[in-house]
Amino acid sequence: MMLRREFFCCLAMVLVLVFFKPAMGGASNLPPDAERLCRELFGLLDQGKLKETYELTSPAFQKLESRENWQGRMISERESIGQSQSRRLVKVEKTDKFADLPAGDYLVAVFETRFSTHPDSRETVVMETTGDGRHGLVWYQVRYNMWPEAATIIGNGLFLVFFIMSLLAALTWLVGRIVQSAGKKKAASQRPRKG
Amino acid sequence: MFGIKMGFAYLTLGQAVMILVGLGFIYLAIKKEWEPYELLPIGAGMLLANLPLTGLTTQPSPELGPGMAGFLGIILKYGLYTWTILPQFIFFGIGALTDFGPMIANPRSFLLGAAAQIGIYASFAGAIWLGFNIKEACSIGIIGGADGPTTIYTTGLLAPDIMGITATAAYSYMAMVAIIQPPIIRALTSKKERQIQMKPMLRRVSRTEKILFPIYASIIIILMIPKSAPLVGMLFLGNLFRESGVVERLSDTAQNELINIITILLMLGIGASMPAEKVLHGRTLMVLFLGLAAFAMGTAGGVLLGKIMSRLSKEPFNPMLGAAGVSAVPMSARIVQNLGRQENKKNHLLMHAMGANVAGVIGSAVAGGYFLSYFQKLF
Repeated sequence: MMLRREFFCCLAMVLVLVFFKPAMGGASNLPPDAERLCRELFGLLDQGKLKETYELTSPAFQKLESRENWQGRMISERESIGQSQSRRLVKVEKTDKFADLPAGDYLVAVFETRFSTHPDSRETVVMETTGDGRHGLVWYQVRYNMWPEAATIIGNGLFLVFFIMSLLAALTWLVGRIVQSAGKKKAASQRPRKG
Repeated sequence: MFGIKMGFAYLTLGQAVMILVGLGFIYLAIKKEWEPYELLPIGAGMLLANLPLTGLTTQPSPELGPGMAGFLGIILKYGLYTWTILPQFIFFGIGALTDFGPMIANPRSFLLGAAAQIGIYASFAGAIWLGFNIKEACSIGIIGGADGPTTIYTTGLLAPDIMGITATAAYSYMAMVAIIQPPIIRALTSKKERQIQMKPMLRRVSRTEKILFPIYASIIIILMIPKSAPLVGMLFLGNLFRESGVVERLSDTAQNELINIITILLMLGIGASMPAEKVLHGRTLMVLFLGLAAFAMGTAGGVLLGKIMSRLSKEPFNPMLGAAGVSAVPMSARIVQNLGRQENKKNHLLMHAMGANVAGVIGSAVAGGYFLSYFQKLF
């Protein structure tokens, strides 16, 4: 009886690990605090709580970037992508300069992520290491092969613009003809009466 | 000093640069009269937003006490980011100001208005190539429509982070139409083509046609692209007010007081959306470059379709008209008229070009609406 309970406990733990693992596989290369930060960030992102991610940014960064700016960027970056199916840490790098951020002590973590809409995505999380060894979020970006989607947008967009404008042109021409001929008929019917 | 915190010690280099840029805009508006109705308030907004310690751009939020939000922050939050109401009302005013008569008289103008939107998609592809995300690429591409309110509305919903810079790019390039478009038109057309003389007068468009147009056009466009409704609906509502002739006071208000008030709020908001930390980085230069490319390619797309139409048309058709398909109303039309007159003194292209020009307004609203519909943005 005891053995069976232990077996089920172990099985439950294995299942928890199996289901938890895909969310952020291989993140152990990160310092524990950075790993915790990434887990919190991905948890919020996967739940669609994009605005709440501002709470994870470092206090120094919050002086540079307002809540509204950050939220706007996160919405544009992540809103239409949806939930992740799996995530794997592929690169961790320390740097003192990243993009337009001021010089500092940064940790760049790159994840290969599978979203239902975009199976071959890469997420980049940049964290600032503060004096007490803690980490604060300063940058998040998700990139995937955007060309198939871009081609769809260009093709459909151009087609729709031309189609709608051609339709309007044809309809305007037709309405013009109808109104003009109605006007002529009206004028013709009025002429004899005047006579 | 004097028991208060003064701003001097808090002024950053970036803010100083942005203040200078704002002053530059004010100079261009007053001295050169470049789009003064837009660039003057944008410059003023930029100046005020970058002065330190003012709190002018603090946006209202539940955590703030009463009176803590700044007026520019209130304009930004409610006018542009949350409700995005201001660009829609600008479209209402534009509708009330626009005479679609030249376009209705010559329905071929619709095609020129469509062709000029090619720049939007070309620049969209360029933005993707340069590493912007899809929504940012849409917002950058839309600059090519040369339509300020559409750019602001689309960017406000898709990529609010770059709204200030895309809007400024759109209005700046509209101000520079006389510099950007003529070389492109000359490069793509021969002297002989530019000399083509068209009938100066278009047919008279009846009141019935003018009343019917905004009704059926809005129904068709909105049924096909529902998310274009805020722009297209307001544009045609304003136009219906104008053409109906029965609500003259409302039409007058839309054409004057309302559009003036909204312009003040919208342009101040745009200026205020450009604090130094959001603007002074490499991405801004890329946005400006892509916007310029979009504008140029839109002009080229229009002219190239104009050339095709010129070959196919039985009546003389000047291909320069395609350049007026970008919706910089009425500047593009005037450019075409002036270039036409330079080549042939007897040429009067203005009314034909106005047709393409107002078609461009519809075309860019359709293109913007498509981007929004694609992302199923709810508002």
